[in-house]
Amino acid sequence: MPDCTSLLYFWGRKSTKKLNLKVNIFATLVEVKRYVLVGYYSVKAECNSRSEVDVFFKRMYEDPELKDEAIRLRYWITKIGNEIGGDPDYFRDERLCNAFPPPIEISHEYIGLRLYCYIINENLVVLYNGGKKIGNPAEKCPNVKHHFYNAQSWTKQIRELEIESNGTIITNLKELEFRY
Amino acid sequence: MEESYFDKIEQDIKKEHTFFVDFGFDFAKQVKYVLSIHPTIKTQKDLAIAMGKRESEISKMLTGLHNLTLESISKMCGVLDYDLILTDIKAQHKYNSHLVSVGAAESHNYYILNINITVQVYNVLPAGTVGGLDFLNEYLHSSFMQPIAISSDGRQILS
Repeated sequence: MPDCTSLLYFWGRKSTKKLNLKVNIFATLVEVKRYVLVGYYSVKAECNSRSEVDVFFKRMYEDPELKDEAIRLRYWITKIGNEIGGDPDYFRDERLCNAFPPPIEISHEYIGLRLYCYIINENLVVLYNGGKKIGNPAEKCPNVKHHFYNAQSWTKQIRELEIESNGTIITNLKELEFRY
Repeated sequence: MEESYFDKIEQDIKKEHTFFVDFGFDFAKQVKYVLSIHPTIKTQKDLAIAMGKRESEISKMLTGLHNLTLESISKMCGVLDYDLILTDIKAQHKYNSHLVSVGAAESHNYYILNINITVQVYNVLPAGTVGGLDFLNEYLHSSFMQPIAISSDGRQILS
């Protein structure tokens, strides 16, 4: 059964009529994993069972052509979480937000995947969704453009939230809500 | 509860993935460090000139778009006059060279352990005390008054 957000996307794309859907779907931040230096969070729509980053890795895991790159990208998440911290030098700049993998000067390998994210501070990173980037710029790439736009929108909203934290933990997690 | 693919894919990370990422990361950090302390070769451009290559080639070597070969690593070490790869065995020789011989008796060579060039002084421990380097390291940060002599393998306090 498709989740509510992908159905919305399907209708929006396939309909030949101009739809003016005003559907309020809310999202929250959920904790994904805490490492020594970084606590990773992700965005979860209220009607979805998985967070955005879990949707991303599920899609990569099930695609034999992308799985190996996804494993390498996943190791970077662990390495930054345990050894480096939320240092912007180790992330790609994506306008308002950031992305994995690190720039090639640091990763030393070509990884075509993009996992959009947002560095709240050196101890807190929010992981979004992404895909295999096949065109430049991201806004024109059919695989990642909607993830890119979502990442910009969520980052803008998260910046306006009053996040209270203690190291790698967001302490007022349940109070934080924004539009999906 | 649904299985987390974020966790599941982490379990698929193999040693070859971690070694690949860590080696490239550590090697580039090492080169960056050497460039920061080198008297004449300060930038990738300087390194390119010294190696007789284009700057873009050096950039590719350090970013993994171009496979780093033993030949290119060796050439880099040569122009920098710096060993960019320190193995366990080389490290043992490098740091054991700080042991300064002060005499020999019977079958043992006696040394005073030099740490960071200055001589550390320690309390005299009973002769015949045996322990590994970890055991001896326990005494490195204390304020002791008299030197000790240890055997050449670093395992026995001699006097």
